[in-house]
Amino acid sequence: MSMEWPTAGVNQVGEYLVSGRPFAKSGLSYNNGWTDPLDKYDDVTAGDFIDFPFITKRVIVTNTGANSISISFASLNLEDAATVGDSAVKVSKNYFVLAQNDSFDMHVKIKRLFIAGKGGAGSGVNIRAELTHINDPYDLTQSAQNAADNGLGGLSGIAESVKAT
Amino acid sequence: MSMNWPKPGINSVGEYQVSGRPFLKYSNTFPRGWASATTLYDDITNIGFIDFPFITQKVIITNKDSNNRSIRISFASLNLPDDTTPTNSAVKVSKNYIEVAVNTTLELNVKIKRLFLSGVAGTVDNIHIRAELTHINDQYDLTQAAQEAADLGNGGLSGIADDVEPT
Repeated sequence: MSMEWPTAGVNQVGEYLVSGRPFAKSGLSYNNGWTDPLDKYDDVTAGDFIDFPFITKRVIVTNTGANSISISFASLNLEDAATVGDSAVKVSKNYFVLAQNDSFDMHVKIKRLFIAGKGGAGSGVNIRAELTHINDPYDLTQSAQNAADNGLGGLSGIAESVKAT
Repeated sequence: MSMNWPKPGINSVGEYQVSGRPFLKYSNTFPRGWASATTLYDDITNIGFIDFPFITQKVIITNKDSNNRSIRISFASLNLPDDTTPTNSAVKVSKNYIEVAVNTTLELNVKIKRLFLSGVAGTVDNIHIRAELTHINDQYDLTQAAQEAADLGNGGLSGIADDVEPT
């Protein structure tokens, strides 16, 4: 019989009820992912994302830089179902834009957040998070691709219309 | 015996206690639903709504319309007929809506599957929608529920569509 405690899963309610393990990163910079309004952008290779060590309870992003930034929960490099070379996230508008001094505050469970400059490189990006201790990949980019491959199009509100592989 | 876990229902408490599955739709356009302050408007045919893939925990609407127009949101269709004057909208007559002025944000911790949105003085654009979702897959159709309440002699659903004409 195993003597180990089971590890917490992504829907372990208690992990979201206790106060979060803190997470802070300030003054981050990101490349311009929007030189074209529709084209895919390889934000994974460019490093234009932040990974959290555990699943988040809450994420707060503040943009103090001069240029706007975009935030999305799936990569801008997911291919749109209708037009080869276009980004599914961009075409379906599954992103949010923060102008200078705007903040974004949501109680969402994520492991990776994609951030890119819009209209130029992003700078002065401050990220705070309240974390669970849940260690799960919770890869929404892969989930959207899997949904497309299973004939479901993608994930509504994350990457809606992804080309199947 | 089935080995599947039961799916969460609309009142599964844990689904509202864990942090939400994210949902983002930026820069949406919606039609003008308020050319008349009282008459019916077919917001279903004209796509004056947004559907969520799961029941929401929370919705956040930001109005950045380029023409500085307000929007009005409701939880039932503007096309539900009013009980007193059936060519009028029950939602409009009973004022079961919320107005969101330009450059303002509305946050609501509510469970819904569909939200109706339309412009007051004209078509609106740059309407940004965020949501924190459960994984509950349920119709939770408040327009239909209001109609059924009226058909059962209960008038409608208070705060959603108060006074609907029975079919």
